[in-house]
Amino acid sequence: MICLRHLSGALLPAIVLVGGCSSEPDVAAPIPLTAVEAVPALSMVEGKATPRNYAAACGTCHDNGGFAVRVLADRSGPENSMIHERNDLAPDAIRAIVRNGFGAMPAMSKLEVSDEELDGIIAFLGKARRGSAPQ
Amino acid sequence: MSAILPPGVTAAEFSAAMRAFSSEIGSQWVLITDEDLIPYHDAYGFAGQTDHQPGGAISPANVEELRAILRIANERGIPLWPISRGKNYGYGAAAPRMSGSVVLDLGRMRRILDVDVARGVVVVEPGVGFFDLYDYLEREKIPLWASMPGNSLGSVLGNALEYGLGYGPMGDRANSLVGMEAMLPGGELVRTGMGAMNGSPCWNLFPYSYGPSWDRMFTQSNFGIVTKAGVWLYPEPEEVLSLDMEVPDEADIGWVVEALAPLRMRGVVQGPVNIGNFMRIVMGSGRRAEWATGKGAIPDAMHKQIMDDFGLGWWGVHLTFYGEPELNRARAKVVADAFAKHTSQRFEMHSWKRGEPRPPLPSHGVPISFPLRIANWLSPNGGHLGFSPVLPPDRAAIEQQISRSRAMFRKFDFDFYGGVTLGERHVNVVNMLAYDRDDADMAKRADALFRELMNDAKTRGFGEYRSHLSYMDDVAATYDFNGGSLHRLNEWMKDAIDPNGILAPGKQGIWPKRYREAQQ
Repeated sequence: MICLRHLSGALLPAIVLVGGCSSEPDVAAPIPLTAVEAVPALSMVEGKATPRNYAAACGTCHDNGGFAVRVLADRSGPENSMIHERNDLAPDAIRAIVRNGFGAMPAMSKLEVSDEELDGIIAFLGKARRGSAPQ
Repeated sequence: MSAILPPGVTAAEFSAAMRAFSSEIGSQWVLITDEDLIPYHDAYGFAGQTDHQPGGAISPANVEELRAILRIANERGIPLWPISRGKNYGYGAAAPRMSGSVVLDLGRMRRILDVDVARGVVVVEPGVGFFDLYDYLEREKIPLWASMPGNSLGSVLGNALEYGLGYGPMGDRANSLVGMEAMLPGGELVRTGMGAMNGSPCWNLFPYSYGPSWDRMFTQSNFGIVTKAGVWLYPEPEEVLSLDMEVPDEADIGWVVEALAPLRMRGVVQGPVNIGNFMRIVMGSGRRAEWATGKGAIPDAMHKQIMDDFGLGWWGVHLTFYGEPELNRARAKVVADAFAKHTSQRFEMHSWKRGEPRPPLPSHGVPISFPLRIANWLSPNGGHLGFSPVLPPDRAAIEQQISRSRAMFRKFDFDFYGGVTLGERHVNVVNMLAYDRDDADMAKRADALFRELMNDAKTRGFGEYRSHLSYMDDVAATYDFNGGSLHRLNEWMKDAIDPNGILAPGKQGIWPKRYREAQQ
């Protein structure tokens, strides 16, 4: 039986929340984790010219069960938790949120993500919404 | 232009200095407007906080540009505040200790310079984050794991230099830093350890050299800027074996530490052991509204129901063994036998084998960001603050600390996010509180709680090892042997190595002469 709930002392991403934990009394017979989903590749936009693309600048929190995915799910529901799937984020709104921060999201500086890189990220999000983002 | 200036520097002098920086490194890497400097405030600081405002921000691409920046800062008396990536959340993030300081953002120095697969060493620059390193090792299929922190957004070097603790055999990260290159405030570049010898292949293999070891001089200090360093990584283990037990009662922490401390000291247990209370999980769940409507602490009377709901005990004990399955099982058996003297509960066990997909957990060398969700516990504009004194791994001392911490958290009406991190011969007792950044009353209570925790610990001889910017002077003052002789040594050192006082004034309570005199 797979039991991952308490592995690291922190609540696990939903993809590994598997119920039905039971005590395993036999030290010699540990439970394998073979049914765990692989960690998705961080690079969603391979080959993109910008060094700080969506995956590197945003995906650490906004993908892969990250902090922002969960916070957005808390506030707006799971259906709105992935920003690259949303249609209600205008480019100027994204730009303002990145530069000023928003709630629990810290602001990101131009030294971390340049204006040009941010434009590329916004373009990627637009393409992602239209279903034509490079994969 | 920002309205915030360093003490004793006029607007005209400051503008001229920023122009000089621009001419050296390019104006696109120099930020001066209030709008552009928003990211260099404390991301999780209280609203209206004014003590840590940046005067500007600059970002060198390499050591040569860094040297030019230091030359200008020395010539013009401009204080610099180095950051690696600025993700030191809960401790001040990217903000400077002293308002008006120019944040020296090393995020552009982000190269992974060398990997020695056979020896388990990587040499990185300060801008390299845990996600960067993980991504690189995965992409290149390098069978090495880095120790990951609970919030993995930060810099590998920055975290280690601040004494970050984390998961896995290399979880004591400051001890995993071997061989540094650092620039002194005057621009001189030095290499520590065997790196002091040209061409040494052992720079990042042996932690000492000949004569004094200066590596620790650059940890939590303002004596130099680390420009690259070796970090020891762990060879991908054949197996990771995890043992988990939820112990039911608050008082159980005493016997748990008593059972584990000798095993940790003897190396049966590898790396720091992180034992967290149920609120550590609950506060990261986003489910507060199910149990509370106001901003006060959830009453103790509800704790049992919440623990049952989550399937948690008061404390979660999580141990992880790395290596050959036979060794892992032998280690696990020793731990299980030690626990059997205190409880009839059995560990839940899990294993990961080489070749299987890795679970997305820091214990398995995978970076994560989700624990930052505690910033959303009380408010959409939340933040967190921690106090983690160092104690001996003694049952009575820890039980007393938890009891006293709990009483203080009750007094100031905060939920108690508690943890115990067991080192080889010590524990850090984590006291974390979450707050609403826009609530002025909560800001006062959080400050009062932090100070009471700090002063209470001091009366029993226990000190903090890391703190938010706002408490650096106060924590430094608790180190009072011989009238604070360590602090005097730090000041002597500071004045000798940084006579113009340009580097990180006030960090860890160490002020250069020019600002000490101004304060007096």
